[in-house]
Amino acid sequence: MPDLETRYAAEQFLFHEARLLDEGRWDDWLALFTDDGWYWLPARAGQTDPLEEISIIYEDPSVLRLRVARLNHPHAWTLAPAPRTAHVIGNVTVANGAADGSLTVGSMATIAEFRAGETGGRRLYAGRQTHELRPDPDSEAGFRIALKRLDLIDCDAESGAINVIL
Amino acid sequence: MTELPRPTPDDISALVRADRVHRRLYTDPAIFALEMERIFGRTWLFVAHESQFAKPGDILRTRMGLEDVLVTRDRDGAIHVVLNRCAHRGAAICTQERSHAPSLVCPYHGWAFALDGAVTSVPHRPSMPAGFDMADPARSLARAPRVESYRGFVFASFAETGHSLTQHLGVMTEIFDNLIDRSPDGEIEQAGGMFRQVYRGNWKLHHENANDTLHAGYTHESSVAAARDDKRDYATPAFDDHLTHVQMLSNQFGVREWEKTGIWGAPGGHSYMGGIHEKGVMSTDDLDPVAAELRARIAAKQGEDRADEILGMNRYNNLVWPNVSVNAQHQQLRVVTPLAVDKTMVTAMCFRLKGAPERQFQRAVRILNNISSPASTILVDDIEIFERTQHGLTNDAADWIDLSRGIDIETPTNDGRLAAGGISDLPIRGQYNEWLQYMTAA
Repeated sequence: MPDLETRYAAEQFLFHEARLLDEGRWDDWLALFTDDGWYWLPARAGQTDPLEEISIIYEDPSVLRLRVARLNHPHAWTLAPAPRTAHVIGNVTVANGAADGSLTVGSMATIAEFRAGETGGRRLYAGRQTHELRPDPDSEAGFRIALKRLDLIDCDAESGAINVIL
Repeated sequence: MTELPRPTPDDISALVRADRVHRRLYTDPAIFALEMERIFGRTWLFVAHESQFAKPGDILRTRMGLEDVLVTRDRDGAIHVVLNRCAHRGAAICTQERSHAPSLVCPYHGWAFALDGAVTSVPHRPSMPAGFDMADPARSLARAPRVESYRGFVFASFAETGHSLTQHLGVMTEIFDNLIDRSPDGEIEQAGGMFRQVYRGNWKLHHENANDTLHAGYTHESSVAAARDDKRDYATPAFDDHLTHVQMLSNQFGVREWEKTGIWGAPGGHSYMGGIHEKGVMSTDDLDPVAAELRARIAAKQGEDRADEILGMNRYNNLVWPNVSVNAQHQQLRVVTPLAVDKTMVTAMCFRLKGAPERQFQRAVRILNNISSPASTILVDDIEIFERTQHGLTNDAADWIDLSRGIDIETPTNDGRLAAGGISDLPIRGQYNEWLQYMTAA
């Protein structure tokens, strides 16, 4: 079982990531990923295969950076007006495996969204997150993300457009 | 809904002109109710692909317009479409999207129905009156009287009579044929899951947008710019990694490129646009080992010329009015389901080409993620525009919507289609021609 210091550091990392997303600092968020990292929102509970089954998002940094560049563009219509989000991260569990200090961090995420205007509204997302973290002593955050998986409780339901990064 | 005043044929006709339509067609609940009765209650609607309920006893729950229906395959393999409403007290019998059962049993009082909807068992018969007749059709599940499969694509109609399915599809059978022909084994199956996207706008907005080429550079400006500013080398073997980039970039076409793609209308309100991956417009085929392998496998069975013919059918969105959009190149199909005058669901799915390289299917999955996920970097901007349009049309002070683009430059082809350059409202005018016929029919 990881020591308290490790667990604290992992938890702080998740809070840091959530804050970057809530503040719309997409470039800083993207920089948290390892070059071979993945961001995955499965489209089915218990999904294990991202290649032969659809995903809400299954992207590595080479594709995520297009997503981020779009969000940064002044004519990304879904950001006019911009949505606001509040991430709450809890129920954090940390398991370490590898000797290199990699961690598997589980948590629950509840994300409230508000967007003004007729095409906006209030919305709530919730689900279990799994982060595969690699230690990165060179970065202020302390880790980089090799995998972020977010299993939304309604991942296979009908959905309106998802205009924010969760 | 039946309490709403029913617009007369004259009322309806006054709302549609050759080059414009009235905003009420998108916002008036009375018109929506009439659409459900006269269009979705009569014409052929796509309900399922046969691979989604392949075995006897398989049951697929879906919708025909506002109606909640079950598509079933009985023990003899016959296909039925029955209303998901117990003939007794009205409870929905099935709540799963897919299930498998020998019969349909209502959880309320145990009435049981065969997979064709016929009532088979009513518990506590002695408590029913003497005249209770199991043979009375009202005791069985209501059903769509006409169900037909075009090579595995199942359509149903609530009308007892009317055009056959192939008459309804007309030349659009070409695109279903082409999707199947792309399989080296001549067989496809729906696989990988489905997205169900809901937008706060009228159902007609989807088809009106799907073949509207010019919107791409404006609506999708942010994703186009993101891809354009991120130069990629589409070299093998990493081509699959660039699928998202290709799709985001393809919306950058200007007038010249769109004119080259072309657009066609067909009788029945159907239409299609030329492909965007054509050589000289945007092609990556030469760099693509998966495409080359697929071609080789088709050619091995059907010959080189036929393989070229199949893969050379270069069309993007193919709209079968009123509720299906097919893209054979992407192995993708979308179904448009109206939920209310200002609420619509779009179900998007992809197909596995049997006998094709496995990566061909993985691409179809990836393309579906890219362009049909609720978090798609492309689709979300379409949804935003649908919703802005719906909102804009609630304004009372301005009534008409312009549909005149390209009206002077349509050219009839010798087989009954209308052709235009790639920037034209021809598809929308065609949709309204058909709409008007259905809506004013007795």
